[in-house]
Amino acid sequence: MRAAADPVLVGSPTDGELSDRLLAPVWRAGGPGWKILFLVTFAGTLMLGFLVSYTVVEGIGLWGNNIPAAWAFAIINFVWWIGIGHAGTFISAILFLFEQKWRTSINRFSEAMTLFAVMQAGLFPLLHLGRPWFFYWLFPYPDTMEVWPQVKSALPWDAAAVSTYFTVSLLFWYLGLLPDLAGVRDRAPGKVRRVIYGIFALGWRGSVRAWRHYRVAYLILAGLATPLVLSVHSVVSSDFAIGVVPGWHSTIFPPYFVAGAIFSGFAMVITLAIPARAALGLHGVITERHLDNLAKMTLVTGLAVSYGYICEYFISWYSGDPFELYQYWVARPTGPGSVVFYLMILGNVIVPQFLWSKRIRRNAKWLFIASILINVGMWSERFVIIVMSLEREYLVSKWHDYAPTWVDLGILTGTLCFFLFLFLLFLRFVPFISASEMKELAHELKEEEKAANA
Amino acid sequence: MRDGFLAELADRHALIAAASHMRALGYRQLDAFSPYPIIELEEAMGIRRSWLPWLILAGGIAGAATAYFFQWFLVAVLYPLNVGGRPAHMPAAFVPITFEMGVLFASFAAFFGALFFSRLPRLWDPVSDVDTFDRASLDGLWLRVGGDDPKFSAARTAQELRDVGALAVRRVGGRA
Amino acid sequence: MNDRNRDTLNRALAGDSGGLSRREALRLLGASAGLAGLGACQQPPSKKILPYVNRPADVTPGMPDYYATSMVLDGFATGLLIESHQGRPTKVEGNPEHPASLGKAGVLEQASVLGVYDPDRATQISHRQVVSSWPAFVREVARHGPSQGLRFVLPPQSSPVLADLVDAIAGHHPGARFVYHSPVSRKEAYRATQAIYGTPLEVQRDFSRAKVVVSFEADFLATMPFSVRAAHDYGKRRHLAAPDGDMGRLYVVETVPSATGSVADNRLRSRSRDIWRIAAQVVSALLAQQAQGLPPALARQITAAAGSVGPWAQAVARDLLRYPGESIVVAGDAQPAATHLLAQVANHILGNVGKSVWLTAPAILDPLGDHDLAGLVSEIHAGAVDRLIILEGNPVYTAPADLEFERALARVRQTAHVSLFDNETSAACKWLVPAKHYLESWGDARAYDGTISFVQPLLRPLYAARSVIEVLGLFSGRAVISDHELVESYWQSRRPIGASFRSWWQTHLQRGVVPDTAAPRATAQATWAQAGAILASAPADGDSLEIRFPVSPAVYDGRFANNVWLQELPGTVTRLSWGNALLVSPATAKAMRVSDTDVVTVERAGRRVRAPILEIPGHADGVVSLYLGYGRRGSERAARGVGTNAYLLRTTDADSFARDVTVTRTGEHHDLALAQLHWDLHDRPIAFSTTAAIYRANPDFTERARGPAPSLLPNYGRSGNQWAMTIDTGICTGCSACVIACQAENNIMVVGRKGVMGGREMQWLRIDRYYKDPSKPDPEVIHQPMLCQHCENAPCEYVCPVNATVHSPDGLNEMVYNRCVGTRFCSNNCPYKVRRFNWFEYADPSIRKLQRNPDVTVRDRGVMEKCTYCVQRIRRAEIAANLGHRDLRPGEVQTACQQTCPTGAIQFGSLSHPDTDMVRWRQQPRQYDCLHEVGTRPRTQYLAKITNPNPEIK
Repeated sequence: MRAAADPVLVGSPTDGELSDRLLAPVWRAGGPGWKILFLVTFAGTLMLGFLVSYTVVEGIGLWGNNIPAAWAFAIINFVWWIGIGHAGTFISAILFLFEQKWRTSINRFSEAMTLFAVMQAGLFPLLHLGRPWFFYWLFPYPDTMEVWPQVKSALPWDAAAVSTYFTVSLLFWYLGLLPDLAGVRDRAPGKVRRVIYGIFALGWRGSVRAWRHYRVAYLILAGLATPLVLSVHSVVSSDFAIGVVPGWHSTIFPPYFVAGAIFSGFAMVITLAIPARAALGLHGVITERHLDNLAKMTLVTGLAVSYGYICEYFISWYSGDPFELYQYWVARPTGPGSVVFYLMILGNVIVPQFLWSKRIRRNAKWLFIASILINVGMWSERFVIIVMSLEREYLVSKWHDYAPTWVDLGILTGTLCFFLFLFLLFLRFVPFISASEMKELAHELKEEEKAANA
Repeated sequence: MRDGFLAELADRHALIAAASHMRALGYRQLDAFSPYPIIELEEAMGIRRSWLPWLILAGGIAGAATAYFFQWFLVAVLYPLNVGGRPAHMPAAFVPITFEMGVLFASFAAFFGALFFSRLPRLWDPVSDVDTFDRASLDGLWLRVGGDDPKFSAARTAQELRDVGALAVRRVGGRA
Repeated sequence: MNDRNRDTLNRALAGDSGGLSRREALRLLGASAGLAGLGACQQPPSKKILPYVNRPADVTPGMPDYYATSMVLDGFATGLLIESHQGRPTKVEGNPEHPASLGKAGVLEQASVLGVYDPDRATQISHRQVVSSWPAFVREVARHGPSQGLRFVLPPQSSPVLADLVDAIAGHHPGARFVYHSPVSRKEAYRATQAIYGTPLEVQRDFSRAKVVVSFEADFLATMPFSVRAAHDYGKRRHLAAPDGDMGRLYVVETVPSATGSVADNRLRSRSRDIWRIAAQVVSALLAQQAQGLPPALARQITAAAGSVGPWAQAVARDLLRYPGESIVVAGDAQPAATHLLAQVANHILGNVGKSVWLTAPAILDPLGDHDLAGLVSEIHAGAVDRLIILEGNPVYTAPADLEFERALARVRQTAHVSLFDNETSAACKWLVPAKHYLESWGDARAYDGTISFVQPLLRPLYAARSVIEVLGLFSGRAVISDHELVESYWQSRRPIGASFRSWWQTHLQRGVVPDTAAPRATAQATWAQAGAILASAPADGDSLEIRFPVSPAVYDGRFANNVWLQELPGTVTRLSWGNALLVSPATAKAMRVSDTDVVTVERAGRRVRAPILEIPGHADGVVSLYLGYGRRGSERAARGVGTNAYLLRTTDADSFARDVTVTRTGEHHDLALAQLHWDLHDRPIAFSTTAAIYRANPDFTERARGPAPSLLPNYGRSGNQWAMTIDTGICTGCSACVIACQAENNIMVVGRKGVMGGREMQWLRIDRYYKDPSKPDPEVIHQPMLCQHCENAPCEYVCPVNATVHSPDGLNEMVYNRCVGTRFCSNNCPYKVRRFNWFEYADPSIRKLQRNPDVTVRDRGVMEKCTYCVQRIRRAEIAANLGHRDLRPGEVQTACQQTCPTGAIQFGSLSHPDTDMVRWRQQPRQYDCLHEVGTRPRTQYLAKITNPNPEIK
């Protein structure tokens, strides 16, 4: 624990100071920057709304999909967003179980990021259906025809996994939020705020009895979320792994998808943390040490992803399967849209290598750029896996290239805006760093110092 | 314990000391309020370990069992179709949903169980009327003695609280 | 009636007379007068017509009736059975009793049913673009007495009734002339026979027994008259039952790869103008062996013309001589008379005449075309024509460009066009009389072999339409009567002695054909009178760039261009839909420094058109080709502006190929709606082919792709009928009749050019075309009909989250449209990519919906669809069997594709009927499963393509 030399919390503020500093944003008006961003992302969200209705009214023929490439942008975006969702739970659950003190100041907004990302992701499985208004047929609802979902398909698994993941993340996040909501209730100026936050705080008073159950529940939820976070992307990966498509039909997919998911998740945390920290002057709470650790996690998971690639290529060669050989060794590096393939290599294999350097890990600017490239790389990975595999399937006569339409691109941009829009609201109306946990941490650190001095 | 005394303490050590002292004096209807969890306090007040985990376990098992049963019953019993030549009852394929439902119901148990045992939601409580009590969620530390405690007596209890170093002692609700 | 009038009228009828100018008001008066007339030309319900013998005459709701009729194309009838649902013709099948069909049907016949429901058909009689009426037209005709200047232009005809009318008109109007015009002229063939026998004769051929067939650019399996029958015989002949079986040998010399060329054992690419010389070489090689029966002078002339005989010709000649009397040499209609002559010379030398080849009197009137368009046009300019009646056809579009027919038309005082559509010619004529579709008409015609066939209507005309004979009747000076009366009275007058007419009439109407009326074998002796002259008229060679004008295998000469099924049908060899392109061989393309989608200007004798390039392996070098039938500019919406009009380059002296063409790049590009973009097999176990020799030596060459695939899954009990299909790719010519048949049977919607380019075509059955070795200049072609394989372990099924595609106990891969939510996971997981998705609401709201098969669901937007093995036919047969308390008989269920396939390459049935071709075929050693190693256990299995190339030809 190099707390003194390399603090996870700068200075030793009193509980009151901490409370004020961490809760204040909730009742302080957003700055001009926030307002502009808010308007921009709000416009983007409206566009998303329009394009979604347009698609539902006209049919998904508006997209670039075809036979063979019956899945494209929608599924790519789905997998990508779900992946981004993973870091939040990973940080707040797994790091919590490992008692990583540095997680405290970033876990809440990375959890929020998870929720918002999963919301984006959840949009696509619905929207990509030919008849979205029948989406509920994937669930076992009482049906006079006694027709039930076909649970040997990976899609009902998806439905279960994603909805569970969202619900559990929400409960976990909200439980952690209770003490701070109470804090805002008691501290915020103006009756209206106090009433509203009071309702959301459910009457939390920090009674020792409440704390007792709270701790247990929080700990066990963390324990439950940990296997969940690993399971969700494994299930998502089986959307492809159970198929016979060369480039999909692979047993390496679950671990390699999970690694990729956490990889992209951490990249997104960095992408969000760096500007937020700068804008709100939180260098004291989100210190360089946090960036450093995030970067390290990114590097590790990035290496896991690269390992996944190596396995894919090795197996395709080792199996000698002509269809896989063609897919991996010809179609991807030289086929249509091979640019995307090289983007993937750049973002997911080359860029992470720079994170070996401590200077880059601790340089907000470079780290930010790297995180963006990684996000692009991960999106490209999903494009390569989904679209490029389908473009060059078994039957030569049905090889056909894919090109997105403006609707595809519009919807992707729309979800990015919607995501940022929600995140801005979150920054503005929810204590985005857990005050109660910070206080606990502050005291623990004091104790440690005492112990060290004595 | 609708009424009783609230005593504000200077810091967590004072609070813990006060709590154990009052308990030593034989008080049982004790409660404490702090902006962050203080584990030692629970020991000092002799609060037993929460048995929420058992509820969660039950929830998890129930969820998983129901999920598997449903899949088997719907797919293998109610409508056993030939789907791609696969057997109607295919345990391997049922695992993911079973697992997910287990986690989901366990989590429900955890969340709502915690609220229930903590007697929440409860928007109003007599202590809320005590001015400056609202600091309890920020930096205030309070100890509470319930009026329904057998050893409770309006005069002595307040004095005992001051003796253990309460900065201030307030009367909560009830008769004056 | 032009749009302006139509608008005015419509607005007026809608009670909106707002702001009518004086001019408009007057036009409106005319129009409404016309409407009044329209009332008068409503027809009485069509006369009682008689269903096919095997079917009940009374209509049971839900039960289709079948009626026999005939489709006539340029004079030659093909007998058909039409499936009719409560008076609504929905599907075409071949008439098993008709010699030109034998129960099979080609692309054009299959698609013709959509033509009657074409939303762009001409709907009312109009004069100078104003609605008029039948009585008005009749009055107009009657107003002029007999005249010298009366001319008729109509397609070639073989109808006895029409012949009778022609005589009557000749009597009534001395000096009236009839011009039989078709853009695909067969005149050269008749000139050749006339040169040999002194009178034009039709060459009849029996492909069912020929050991060796040599085709000089004759696409006798697809686009030539009688091709359905030829394909039927060829299929029987070529199907190889065992490795040591005899399959004969087919040589094809051609310019543009055709269906026939794609199944040739030895194919030779050549410019059209050189083909006669190759024929001459073969013949002189034959003459070297035996020359009796041929005038020495002619023999000498041939040998001289042939020049030095190449090894190819030598080998072919040797092969021919091995089977005297058992071979066929045939020349294509596009070839000059010389080639036809030489082909017939060969047949004589080989003693085929009277055996595999014989001669009959031509079925059509005026085969030599004594009066042609050129003569007509000069007459017009000489002022000798005052009334010109154009009956069907579209000469303004199809006439040789140098005639400038449209300008000539304008100089005729009175012109009338009887036409299905308000097309280019109608626009240039003063009168437009909507023509009846053949499914609305009474009539008769002869088949290629002379057999009398009847045309009876399936429904009353949808519009104020008249048939050709009705219009001709007006000029015959007889009373104005309907086509039904014309036909019946004519045949009554020729009632066979002894038989009561009524019963004779009923029987033969029911059968659609009068048996044993094929033309007798001509006895004319070969005198070779003008053979020398014909030979001397053969085209010279030289190395200028040549252009060839083949008829489109889809829209023919353009008359079917508004049929959306045909527009969307990928070309047999080009795989191109919605338009044509300038076809070139890769080598020539390289020489011209152009490649696919480059737009080029094609110039010939001052005339130029622009067309995109499409490289076709196997196309002859030094020649470009452009399908006829595209670039229409009539009022037909689907056809209008699609592709390039090749007629603009055709002239009287060069109507099937021309020399001295220049091709220049424009630098522009035009995307092509290609249904298949890749054709290299990449050594994948998709389609197999080999030579007969190798097959004999190693029958198990498909071993790796057959037999049970290992599987961990339990075997489902398979009892009762288990449906399956076997396809012999060896006799599939890629003619695509099955594709259209499937489209008609299963209500498959069209998606248009953009849809095809976007990879969203909907045809459940497609014909994949692979090149065995694409790098070769003339690679071997494999046609592989690809449809749902109905896998026993179907990958599409287990990935569907809602049980929308499941397996039936009788082995069908079922698609439950109502349950489908459209995840498209099934399509991704289908290795054969035979699933189709409704990306938009494709259902056609126009009158075309009257064609739909009521037994098949019209699919909603957002659901997946695919081949069902025609499950509606299976269930119908099962119900019938249950009612009869019996089991299904072998062959009782036929899928639409199987039923129409002219060569019989598709066999369908139940595995529980071992004594059917379907089951016997799949026990052959050359059987294979497509993508066998994926382990899907497909129920649709294939037989490898076996070719029998001449070993002497390297």
